[in-house]
Amino acid sequence: MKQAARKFRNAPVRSTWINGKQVSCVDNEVIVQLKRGLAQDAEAQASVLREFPNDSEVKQDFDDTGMAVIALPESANLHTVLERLSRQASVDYAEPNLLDTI
Amino acid sequence: MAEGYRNPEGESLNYVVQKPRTFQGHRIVKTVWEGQSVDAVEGLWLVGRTVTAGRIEIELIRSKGPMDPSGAAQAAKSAGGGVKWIEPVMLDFIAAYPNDPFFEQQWALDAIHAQQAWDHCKGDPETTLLAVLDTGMPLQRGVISHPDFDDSKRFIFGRNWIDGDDEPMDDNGHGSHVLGIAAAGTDNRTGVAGLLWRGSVFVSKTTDSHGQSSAVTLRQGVRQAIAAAKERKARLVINYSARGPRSHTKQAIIEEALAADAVVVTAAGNNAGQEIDYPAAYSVEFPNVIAVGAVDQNLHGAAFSSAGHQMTVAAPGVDILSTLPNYLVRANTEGFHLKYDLMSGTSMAAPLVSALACLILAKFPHFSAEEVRDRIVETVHKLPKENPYYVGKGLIDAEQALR
Repeated sequence: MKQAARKFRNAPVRSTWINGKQVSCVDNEVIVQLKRGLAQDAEAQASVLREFPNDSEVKQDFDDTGMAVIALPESANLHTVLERLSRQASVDYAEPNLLDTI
Repeated sequence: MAEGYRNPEGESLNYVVQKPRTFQGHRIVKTVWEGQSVDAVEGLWLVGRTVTAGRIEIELIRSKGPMDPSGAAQAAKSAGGGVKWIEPVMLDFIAAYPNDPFFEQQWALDAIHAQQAWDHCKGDPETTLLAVLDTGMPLQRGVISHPDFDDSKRFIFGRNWIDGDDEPMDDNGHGSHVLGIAAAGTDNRTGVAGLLWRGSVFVSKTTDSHGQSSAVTLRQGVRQAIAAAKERKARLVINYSARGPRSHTKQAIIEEALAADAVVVTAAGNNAGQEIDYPAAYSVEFPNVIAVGAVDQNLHGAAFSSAGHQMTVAAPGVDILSTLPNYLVRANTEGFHLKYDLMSGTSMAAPLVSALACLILAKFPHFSAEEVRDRIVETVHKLPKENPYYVGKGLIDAEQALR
């Protein structure tokens, strides 16, 4: 269920369930990490980006460790995208951008 | 405060003096007496002798023997009969006493023996770097605005990962409070004293005005702190006071910190007895992570704390006096005052541990991150009546950790 009132860096915050626990995350923001050795592999990066729906926004491009942060369009389903990414051979993990609180 | 010897070599109470120290012309030697390392006056012994029933006379004698039990036995022999006890002439030192006007109200520093610890080490701005990843510090127009952070040279600005600029300005109050506990100006005739008397501090804003941070901002803050420490060739201690779910990204951050041999000090969280969240809960998986719980003035575990087997140690975290921004922030809407106020939480306990980790690294620069954690754990003041799920191995003792 979306909680429109809460925001983080101007993006809406939503609650979701992971491993049976309710957690907060930045709405539709995905962290994707390439497997070790593929961090700078252009083909691996491109094939991962192809899994994202049109109108996704690269918030942080692949860095030296092979991690990128992508924002999905509002219409996309976060869990479907995460599932698709987890099936990619070059992906170590993909997960929502989870929030901590003080 | 102990009465006794003042270092004749100069003002330093730190004892980094290289030439032999003396006391009234006698050489001072380090020796172990009854299991403790002590400074003693070479060749001098105090002998307690029973003169009449219930009355003991104390006599000063000289010996040529070693300053250990065999020397004591020799001294006792030469002292004649009626010897009740004998011990070396051991030295007391005047503990460092900062001139910060609110120092007397900082019960936390007294509880962890900060004054005595400062006699051993006050920190080293060259070799250690404390990274505080939180809501930022008091800044106005990009300049440090709080009088208790007056030594601007010791602060290094990291990114503001929330607003995307280079000014980690505190708009919540939490970060300023945490920062002051660790690194407010000490002996600057202003406000409170920070435990890290001397030392460089990297301030990064990873947490927004509502007290939220994300796996991405935490990762960015940690990576920038690692780079800053590497550039300065300094050892790194990271203080992070937020909590949340376990995640691959968070674990990768801890692995990266471990690879950089950085100590990661984390607040256990304030979930009132519920389980400890991450990254604090990584303390049982990574040797460089310290999960910190809170105790009150009676040294009881704080009821508000999260609890679990992952708790490493405890530090004072109830009614802790520290700095707040000198301009209006979110904390003021919750009733806190400008500039200074009391706050409670495991967030207030963690910076005492991270500052102590910096002091340990300043004194023992060859220690690995794991050895720093071991040192803190092995020298705690045990709290046997308290639930270890709340206080871990016990209350940190800065003096013992720096001996």
